[in-house]
Amino acid sequence: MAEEWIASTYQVLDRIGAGGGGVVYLANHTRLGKQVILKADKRKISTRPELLRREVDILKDLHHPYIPQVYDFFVENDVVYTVMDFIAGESLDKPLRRGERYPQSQVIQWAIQLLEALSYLHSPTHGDPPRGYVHSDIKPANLMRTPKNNICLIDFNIALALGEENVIGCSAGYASPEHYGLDFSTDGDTATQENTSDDDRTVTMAYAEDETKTMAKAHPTSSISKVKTVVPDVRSDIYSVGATLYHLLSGKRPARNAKEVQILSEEEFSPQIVKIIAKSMNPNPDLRYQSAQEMLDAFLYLHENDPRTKRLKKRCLVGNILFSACLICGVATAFTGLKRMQTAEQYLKLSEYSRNALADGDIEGAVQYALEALPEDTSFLKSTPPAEAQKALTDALGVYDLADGYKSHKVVELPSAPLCMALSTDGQKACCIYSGNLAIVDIQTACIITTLPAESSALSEVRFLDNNRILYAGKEGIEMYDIENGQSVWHGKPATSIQVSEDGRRAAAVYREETFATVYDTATGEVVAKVDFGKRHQQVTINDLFANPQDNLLALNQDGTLLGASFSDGSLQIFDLEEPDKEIRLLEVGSGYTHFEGGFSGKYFAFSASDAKESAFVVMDMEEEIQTGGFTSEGFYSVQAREDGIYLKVDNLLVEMDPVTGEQRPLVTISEPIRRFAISDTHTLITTDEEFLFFDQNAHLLSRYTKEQGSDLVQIANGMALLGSSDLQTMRIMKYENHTEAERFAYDATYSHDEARVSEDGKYIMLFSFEGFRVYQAEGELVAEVEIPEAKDVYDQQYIRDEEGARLEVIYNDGKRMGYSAKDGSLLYEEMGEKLDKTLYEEFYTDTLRMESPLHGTPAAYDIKTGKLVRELSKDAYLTYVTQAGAYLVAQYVTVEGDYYGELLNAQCEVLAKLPYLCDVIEERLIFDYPTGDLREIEIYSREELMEIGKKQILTQ
Amino acid sequence: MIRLSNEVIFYGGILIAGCSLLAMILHLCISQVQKVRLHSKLVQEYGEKQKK
Repeated sequence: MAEEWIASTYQVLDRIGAGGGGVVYLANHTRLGKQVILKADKRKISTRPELLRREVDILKDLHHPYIPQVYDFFVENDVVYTVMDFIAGESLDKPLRRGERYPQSQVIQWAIQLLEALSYLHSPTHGDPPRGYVHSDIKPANLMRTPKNNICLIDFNIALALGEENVIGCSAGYASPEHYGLDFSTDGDTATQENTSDDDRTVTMAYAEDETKTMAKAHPTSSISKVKTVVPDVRSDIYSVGATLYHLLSGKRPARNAKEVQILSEEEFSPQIVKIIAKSMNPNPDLRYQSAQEMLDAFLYLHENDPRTKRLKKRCLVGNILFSACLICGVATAFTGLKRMQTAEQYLKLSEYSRNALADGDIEGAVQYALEALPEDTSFLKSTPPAEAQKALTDALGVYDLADGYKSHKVVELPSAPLCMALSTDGQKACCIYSGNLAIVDIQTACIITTLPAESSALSEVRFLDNNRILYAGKEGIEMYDIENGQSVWHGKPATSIQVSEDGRRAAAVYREETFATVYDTATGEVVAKVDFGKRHQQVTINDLFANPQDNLLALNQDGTLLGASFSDGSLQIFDLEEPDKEIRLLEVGSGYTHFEGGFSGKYFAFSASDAKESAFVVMDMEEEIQTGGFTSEGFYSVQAREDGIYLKVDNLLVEMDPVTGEQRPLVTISEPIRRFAISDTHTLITTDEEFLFFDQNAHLLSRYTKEQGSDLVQIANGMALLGSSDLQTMRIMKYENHTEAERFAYDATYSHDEARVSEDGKYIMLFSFEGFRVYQAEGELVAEVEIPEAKDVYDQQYIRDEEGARLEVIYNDGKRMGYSAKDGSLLYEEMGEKLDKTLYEEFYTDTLRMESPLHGTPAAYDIKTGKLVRELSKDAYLTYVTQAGAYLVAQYVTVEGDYYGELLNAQCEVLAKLPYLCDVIEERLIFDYPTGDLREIEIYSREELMEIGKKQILTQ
Repeated sequence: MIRLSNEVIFYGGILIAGCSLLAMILHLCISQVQKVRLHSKLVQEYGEKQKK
């Protein structure tokens, strides 16, 4: 072939294609030195050259990997030439003609490339003013497949950019309905489809400029009835892309008529792809993708939009949410449980602190701790306060202890352990010497009123002259101090031991191991006498800073005219201050006695002298100067002598002794040795190794407490008691309380009985035992006293309150039953019942529980419905009865010793309160029978009521 | 009984949380396997995911 040149620049290398619009040459661009495509178009261009040049320049600026570069455009010999990149490869129509099919994934990849190119082409960013370009002839023939298996969109018809009339591609099957002037848009008229053959020819169409006309120049062979003017836009390209993909996938060219296009099979192709293609080929352009980017996105998001992906994501999301929720719930639940456990533990600790404080006598602290264990505000993070907390509060408040007796009042905190204590006769003030100081304490408030410097010796003493004045061993010497006025009245010479005459007018003082005593006029401080001990001195330890063995006796008589003193040499002497030369030696030097106690009681002088082996007790009539009584013992005598009597303690017995007759009136008789004792007008306080106890003047036990440590300092006066120890920095204050306001009935305390009951109407009280019973009216009148016959054969007694009235049923071993009226004690019936089961096993029932009470073994409560064990009850006693009292249960027990007591229980049988001396329960009222011959009654307090009481108590304190 | 309830709540919560955690881990593992399988299937159908 002869060399052919076009425009003197392009050397034609080959003619590679021809179509209805022109020929396509492969040429060599001589200047660029590269192969280019020359597309020769014979159709006339009606545009002005300058406009043409401008548009070519714009096309030359199109740069995209899937669009061939346009280099130039020129006209030669009435032929329009477009110069563009030569794209190696083959157009996709050729393999289609060969019957080749492409896998879906490959078609998608090409679709994406094609749409990227179209998106670029359509975007209104090219030229000035910026505008986009429509390809208008997208079809497999215009897609080149490169050696790299990419596609390239070729065959741009620049005439479309110009709006030329007759240069628009219209390939059958690929062209959109708009190409044929058909308008299936939402607001458009449906037009009749023109009849053209379904081939690949480019159909040249002319459009009328006037939109109202519906005429169009068509192919001569065609015939149309009526066509509306429609301008192809980007959506037309979208249609063509869809049709092209349709062909590539199915191998079949789509129908020319858009409405006759068969939808691709969803069994053969992915439903998403079918939908994309169907949408892009919608006859109605308004229902197609409105931009190439939109269709591109549809392909780019195939993975994400696939229903399987969505289902999987949804499943994952649901699963994650569900399990996360469960995890959060689990963690929240565990956290809640942990907080509740922590608060429950805290409440238990606070309850224990309360118990400990109560044991130490710190009532205020005990109530405070108990209230903290019973918070008012509740939340789901806080555990319900345990029964122990309510019990601690009940114990601290002592609401169910209606016995008359001494109760813990307060505790005095001292800087160090006390060495000597004294209590005023009205019981309102106390003095305490500790470590070189004297503290004056208000008993009611337990506050230290003032602190004064004292002699630094454990021998230092303090005495009350009256309720407001004290004599004590001050730092500068013996000192009298007026508490009310807060000032010193007088002071004398150094002193440690101090004694005051009964009339309070004279005081004797000795300083450590000095060999004399100084006697003062207490009113003025004037020295009235100096008593020479004759080079003898009282017992003094080597180190007298920390301990006072209390081995010495120093005493003045009623008017301070006689002074009794013991000495380290074992002698004991009475000094007559009015007759100094008179010597009354009661014990000689070398007696061997090392410990002395005693004093004056009226005209008598009573003392005890002890050594390691024996103890002697002597009573002397000082007026007659004769011994009126006395004995020795291997036991240890302890003596206190006062104006109101002589009190002698030995081992476990404390008596008041008549110095004339020697008669002894028991004050205390217990089973353990008595260590210390103190006596007031009405009560006696004693300590043992384990306890301290209070007795009334009839030697009846009032109260008893366990002590943690030694109480070697004791004082009692006017209903107040003071206990201290040289091992503790605290002094415990006990206060006598009586509960006569709760009194229901009083009887002769000497009448021996086991149980007491009240009739339901409250009018009659019965006190009974196996031996017999008494019936009283509530006002106190004895109605009947009955002896039960054959008492030794009695098996059991039951006080019954029912519709038939109140009665006492006596059950004998042989099954005989005798019933006595609780009103008048008359015999109501006598009948023979069944022989009894001697195991003494009993059962009690409440609304929800069954209680078992075996004779041997632990009583237990079981759930009535399920039979499950709810709780074991008190194992130290025999359960005699269970009463339901509202929301509570009251269990009554009898100990081996025959003591009756009760327990207040909640619905879970947890102990809320101990009820000592409980004898009866009527509705929600508890009745107690005290050994003092008192029947007292109180209602059951709810937790809220207890808390109110506790708060009020804290406030008043 | 109150103390027992608190412990039941605490340990029950731990149990629930533990089981939830195990179930979540199992669920994640299964989901991951399903995702890989599905991805493989989708790649087979649609080709590799194109970068946006």
